Amino acid sequence: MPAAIEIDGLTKIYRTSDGDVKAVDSLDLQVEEGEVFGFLGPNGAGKTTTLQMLMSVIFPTAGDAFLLGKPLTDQGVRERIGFLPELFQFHTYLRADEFLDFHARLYGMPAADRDLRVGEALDLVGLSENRKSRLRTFSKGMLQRIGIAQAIINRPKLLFLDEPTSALDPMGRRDVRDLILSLRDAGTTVFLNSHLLSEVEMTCSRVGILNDGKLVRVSDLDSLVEPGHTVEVRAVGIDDETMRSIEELAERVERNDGYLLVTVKEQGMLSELARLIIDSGASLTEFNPRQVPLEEAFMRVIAESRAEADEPGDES
Amino acid sequence: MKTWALARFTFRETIRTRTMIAGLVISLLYLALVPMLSSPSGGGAVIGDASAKTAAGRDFLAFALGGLNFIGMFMAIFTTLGAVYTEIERGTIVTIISKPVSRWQVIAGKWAGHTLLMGGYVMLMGVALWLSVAVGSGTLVWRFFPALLLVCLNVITMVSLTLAFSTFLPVVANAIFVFLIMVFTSNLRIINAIGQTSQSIILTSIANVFRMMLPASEVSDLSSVVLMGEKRVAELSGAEAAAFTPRNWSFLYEILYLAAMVGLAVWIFRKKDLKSA
Repeated sequence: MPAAIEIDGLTKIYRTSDGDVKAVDSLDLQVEEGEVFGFLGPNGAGKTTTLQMLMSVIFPTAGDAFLLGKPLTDQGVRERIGFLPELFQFHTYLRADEFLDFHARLYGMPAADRDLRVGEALDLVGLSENRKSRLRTFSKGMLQRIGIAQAIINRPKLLFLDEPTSALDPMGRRDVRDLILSLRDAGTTVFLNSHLLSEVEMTCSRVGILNDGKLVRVSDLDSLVEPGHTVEVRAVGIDDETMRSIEELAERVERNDGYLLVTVKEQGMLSELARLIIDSGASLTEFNPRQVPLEEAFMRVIAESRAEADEPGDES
Repeated sequence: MKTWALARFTFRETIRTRTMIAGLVISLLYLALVPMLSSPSGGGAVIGDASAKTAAGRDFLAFALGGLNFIGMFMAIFTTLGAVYTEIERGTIVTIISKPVSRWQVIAGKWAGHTLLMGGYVMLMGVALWLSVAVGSGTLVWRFFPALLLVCLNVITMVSLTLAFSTFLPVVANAIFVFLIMVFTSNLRIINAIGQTSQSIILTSIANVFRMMLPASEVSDLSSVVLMGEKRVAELSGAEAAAFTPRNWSFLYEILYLAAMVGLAVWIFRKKDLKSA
């Protein structure tokens, strides 16, 4: 079975008066069918440029990409793809149903299907009651929802969402999150570009991190937010000698109100730490490894990639 | 079906623009005022004389058709100026392009939408003018309709030219370029007349080569000839116009010209990154 997305050396160079700017640099990536893939990166990293190349809005300077096994130039494959662009702009004089009907026509759907799909898409994004309302009367959040509706009107096999929750309130975000998960359950591959790392954390199984046009990390979410080397220790009766032993073993010990925050050099040292406390006769009540949140992991990956790029002798 | 969806969409979108509404108001005023500017009955001097009545009716229709040609061309330019570029700038093109739609279909749809709108407008206005003569003076000038078709062709040509420029020029630059070409080619008859008077082959050659840049002016003259006949056109226009006789095949050239403009629009659009600056 071909990958849902296969990107091979995709590059985009913009020629400006100040010289060439590499917006995306030799991007290689594979996203399997049925995955919810998070595409992360700071502003200007090249995420939207990548999506625009995949959607044939702009042309790559070099490289190839395949969607559902077909090259980008294959127009037929787009019948099975949905796309919500960032800062989606609307023809706001249209009613919600007219807007969706127009997009359904662009998918070449016959009239009977169109009516069905318009109703279905409006239901899924919670806008059924606004079917006959003009888009100009919609709030920002409602516009975002109708944007999502046009992206799923064809029941896509592969869905690209560029910042789908940026204009939504917490309830709207939850709805979109639920929608993404239900699409995944129905077998849709979702490529999610979002700044909201908490959203990515709750929906994606794998993430790719882009920085300065380069893909610096592709990883399962679980291994990216792996348990760190820090534990929260709550124990009664730790004497001074045990405390000194803990300090010798640990890289850093932080005394807080009622608990210790202990950071060790290696994961394996955590069990040694626990044994040390128990053997000292203290009563260990809690021993909670602290998980590195995605935000922290993301910052670390970006910092590492920047440090690597700044290393002397790196430029050839 | 997809091209038709885009054409229908363009039609609906354009008909509700302020430019179009203003154009329609001006057109209605024009319909109301044009009989005052040139009487379809020939000022009452030809009452009872059927052939003179028909001639007066033709003269009136030729005058009115000239005005319609002018208004139609302006409306075609103003409503098509941002057809593609503005969609790119606003970002509304992105969701269309990401659908299973070829780029040529986007251009074809836009062209068809604007053409249907402006072509329909010219035909409706033309029929209204013809009816005003038919009802007002009782004369049926059938030669008006081929002349009207030529005006319609002119308006569609302006749609095509402006659409082609809108694939790479912002609205203001597009307006400047199209109007420069229009004004320049409309005034080539003056250069030609000067060339003929001074017997300058260079000037007459320049005039004849550059009139190919935009055949609308020549086809407009041809519509007058179709409607009134060469002799009457020469009588009304004097020596200057007679020095630049429209060629019968100019409308065929104009059809090729507008097809080339649509082809140019497709060619540019197919290669363009649709990212707003």
